[in-house]
Amino acid sequence: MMRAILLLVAFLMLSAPSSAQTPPKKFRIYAITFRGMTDVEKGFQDYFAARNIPVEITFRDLNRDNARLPGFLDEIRRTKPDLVYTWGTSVTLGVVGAYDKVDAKNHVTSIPVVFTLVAAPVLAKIVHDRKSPGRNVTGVVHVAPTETQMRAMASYRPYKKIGVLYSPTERNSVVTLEQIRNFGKILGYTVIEKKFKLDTEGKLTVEGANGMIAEMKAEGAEWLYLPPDSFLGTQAQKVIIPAAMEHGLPTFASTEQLMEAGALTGLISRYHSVGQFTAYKVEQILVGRKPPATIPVETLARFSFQVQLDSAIKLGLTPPLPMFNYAEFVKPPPPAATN
Amino acid sequence: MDAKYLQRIYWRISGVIMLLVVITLGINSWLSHQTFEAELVPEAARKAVTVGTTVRKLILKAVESGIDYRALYGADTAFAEVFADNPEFTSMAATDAQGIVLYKSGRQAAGADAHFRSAGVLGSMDRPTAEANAILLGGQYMVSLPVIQGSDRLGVLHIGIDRKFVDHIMLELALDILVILVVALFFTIELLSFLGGARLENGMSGLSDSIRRIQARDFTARISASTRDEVGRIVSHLDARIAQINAAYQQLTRDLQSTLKNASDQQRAELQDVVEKWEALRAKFRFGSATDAPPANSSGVNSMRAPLFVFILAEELTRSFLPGYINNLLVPIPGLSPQIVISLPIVLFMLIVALGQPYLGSWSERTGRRRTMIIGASVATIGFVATALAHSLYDLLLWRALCALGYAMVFVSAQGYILDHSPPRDRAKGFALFVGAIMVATVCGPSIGGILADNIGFRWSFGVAAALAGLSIFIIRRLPEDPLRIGRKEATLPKLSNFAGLMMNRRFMVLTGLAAMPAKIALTGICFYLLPLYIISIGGTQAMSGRILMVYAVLMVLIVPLAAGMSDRGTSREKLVAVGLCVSGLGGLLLFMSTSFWVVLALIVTLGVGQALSIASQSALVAEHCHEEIKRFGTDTVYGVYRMLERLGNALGPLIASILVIFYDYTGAFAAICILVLTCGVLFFLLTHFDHSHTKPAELAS
Repeated sequence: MMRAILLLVAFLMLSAPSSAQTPPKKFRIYAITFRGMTDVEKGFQDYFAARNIPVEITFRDLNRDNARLPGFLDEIRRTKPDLVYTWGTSVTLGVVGAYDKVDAKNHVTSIPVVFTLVAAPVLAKIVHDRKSPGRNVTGVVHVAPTETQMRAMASYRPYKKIGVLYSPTERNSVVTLEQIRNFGKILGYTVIEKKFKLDTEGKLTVEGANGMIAEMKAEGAEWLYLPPDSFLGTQAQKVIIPAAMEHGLPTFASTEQLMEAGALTGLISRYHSVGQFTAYKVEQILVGRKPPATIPVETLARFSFQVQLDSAIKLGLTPPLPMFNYAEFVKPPPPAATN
Repeated sequence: MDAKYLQRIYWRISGVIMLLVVITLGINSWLSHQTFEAELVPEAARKAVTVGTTVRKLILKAVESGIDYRALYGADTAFAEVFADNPEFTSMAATDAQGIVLYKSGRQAAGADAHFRSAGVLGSMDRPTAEANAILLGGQYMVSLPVIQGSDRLGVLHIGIDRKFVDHIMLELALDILVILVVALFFTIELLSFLGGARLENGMSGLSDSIRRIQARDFTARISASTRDEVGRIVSHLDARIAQINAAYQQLTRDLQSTLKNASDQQRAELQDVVEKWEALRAKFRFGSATDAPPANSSGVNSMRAPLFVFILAEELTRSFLPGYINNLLVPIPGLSPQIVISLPIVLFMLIVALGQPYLGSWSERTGRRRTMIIGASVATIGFVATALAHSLYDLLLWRALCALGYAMVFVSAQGYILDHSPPRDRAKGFALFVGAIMVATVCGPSIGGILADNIGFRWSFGVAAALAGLSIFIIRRLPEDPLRIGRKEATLPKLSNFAGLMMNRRFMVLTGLAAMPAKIALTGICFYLLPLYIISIGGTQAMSGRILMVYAVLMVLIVPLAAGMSDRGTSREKLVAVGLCVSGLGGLLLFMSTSFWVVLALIVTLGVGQALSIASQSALVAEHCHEEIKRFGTDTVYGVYRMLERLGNALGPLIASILVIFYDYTGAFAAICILVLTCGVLFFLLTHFDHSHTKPAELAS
């Protein structure tokens, strides 16, 4: 409601003068993505276009290679943009640093940073508190609260045991798992946890994942929950979800990316909407002159309940009848799609 | 004699009216049930079709998405959602094209399976556009909708409407009419008394006075007729005849005197006989004009009844819905549970009434009864208006305090007015009238209040209470001015030493602490606090609370005179009190068997019976048990202390009940209070039975 009013007020304040003035100064935004352009960036740009806010966005892609980041940081220091946009937890941490490990020479501190697609910004030490970030950083969380996701899963099919496959090296996943475990005490389920293995170099590997999923099924798991885990995200479409389908285990996605990778169902934020909401935060900073430290980190107010009907029929787990009233039915991903 | 005679006539008139109305109501409700059902069922069927169409759309959407109609998941959940929104639907089922049930939820009607397979029902798939009709089957009206996708006949969707929902609506309606009927009965009696009765009663007493005087050969001229009705005319005729006789006598006297004056001695001797006869006449009858004041009649006391009734009705109106209203205005008070907070306005009200009465009593004596009543009714009217507009619990407390102050003022001054207006021999009659007006108000108030609250809302209902209180001001203004009180000593406030003295008296404390206070705690705790909240908590209406409170009040009206009669015929008052307390508490034990609504109703009935048995004897026992104290402190003081403690029980009731609710829930709190009263009853019996230190007139008599 508040947001709607703010939007309306902002709209009334901006739309009239901006069209009347001589070409206004463009806001310069420096955007760093993790795996190329996604719907988030599309929503981000669409918002500015729709609201007639003049922006000039410089896109830089990490392409999943952290070694490229120092070069981008140098460029930021040189070009001094009005605002930096960061996609995902690792990019954001690379740009601003954990709040207790800020390196003033390396990290961006004086330029406002707006992140997007970060599942757990407090746990990742990006901000102290969601309500008031306390540093020159704010942004948007794309994951529904864990409790809401667990309930949504139960509304599709009630369960007593769920399996979770996660990366032990990703703090984000570890903490999400802890939340799932705690909430199990209230909702009355137990969690079967399996960790991705590490190779000889200490890097995460997908090897053995199929076996672990088979074990989960054998141990009585009724769902495979897919947390907002970066490594899992990269392996979901090729390995994890097909394996789960093979063993007859339904999958529940926490993000649109996992949903697009072919999960059976999930409660997710649409990337396009996430991008628009991120742009709204940017507008508050650049146009509204509000310090990022005082702008809360938020999720969208509404999530989409998505279902892959083909998988559901294949698994013999069709959605409950009432769900046909509100769920969004999506097509399976084309086999050649990239993440 | 007249009052009782008239009362009997009123009851007979009302009884005949009541009987006629009950018979008419019975016939009417049977007939209207037929028409009602005929009207209501198609309405419900249309709703079932609308709801069923939504569910059918859902099924078709799933089927179109590629899901097999026979493999739908969560159909029962979808059906259950329908029941949650539409309580009158009790069953839903979807069959295949052969009528075999695939999905079902709710209570299936007997014979449903055969019905689903019948050709008529399966034929609906051939007429998808035909209007669905409700068919009565095993206590349910079944509405069937074909489920067809394109040319594919999938099956039929069935919705069952509970036939009882019609009965339920009818029952609610009939109960409301019955309540209004009972209220109308009591109103009729009140109105008869107000419009004709009081005047008739005064006329009759004038007539009987005249006849009594004539019987006593008293022909003094006076104006006895106080009314201008038939009876008044008869009395005026009598007065006129008496005046004629008086005039004839005067004429005779004058003639005789003038004759005697002018007569010669011989004539006087001849007239001696006439003079003797005249003397005899004078000795035998009384003539001339009256010198004594006309006897006091009780018209003042009678005219008190109407305003008192209207005023008390205003407060009684709120009984059934006040706790619900407070619940609406609830603001959290740190450190206090909401249950206790809800009880606060009721506790405050009772506390003000309890503590205010002694002071207001002596104040009204100085200010004048009528004036105090007008002030009190005005204060209460303001209180009711403000209560209706209350913003939150905090200001509500203030407004309820105003109502309490007004209530106490009217109550004590009305009591005082009756005392002032009735000679000692009529005092009991005066109080019967006082108690009667209040009882009738307790019968009419809560039930009407409940119906009002359900239909026009809390705030407007308080508005009605305000209007009633306001109306009472105008009726009070019509009362005669206060008479000069002669020879009555100023009532004194109970002193602390009186309290202490009485508190030390075991017999007084047994009566007050084990009988009077527990009885009041049960009354206010259960009837004014627990019951209205409990009824709402189980999904009942304010009208239902009102009806149950009316049952309680009617029991009081019926049984109190019976109990008084028993006590007059020699049943010991101690026994009546002890039995009454135990009966009040017994209902609570039923709760250990079941906690259903009917048990709570039974509890209220036993509470009413028990209270009615003991209430009159309780106060009579004060005089019996406290001879010495009455000698030392005076009757007024002893009763003053007794009443104040009893009323403190009124204030304690809701508080105790609210604390019990926190720990034991509503039914537990009902049971706990009942057990408290039961225990007090047993203790009271033991302590009075084995205590022979005081005289027991009833036992001595037997």
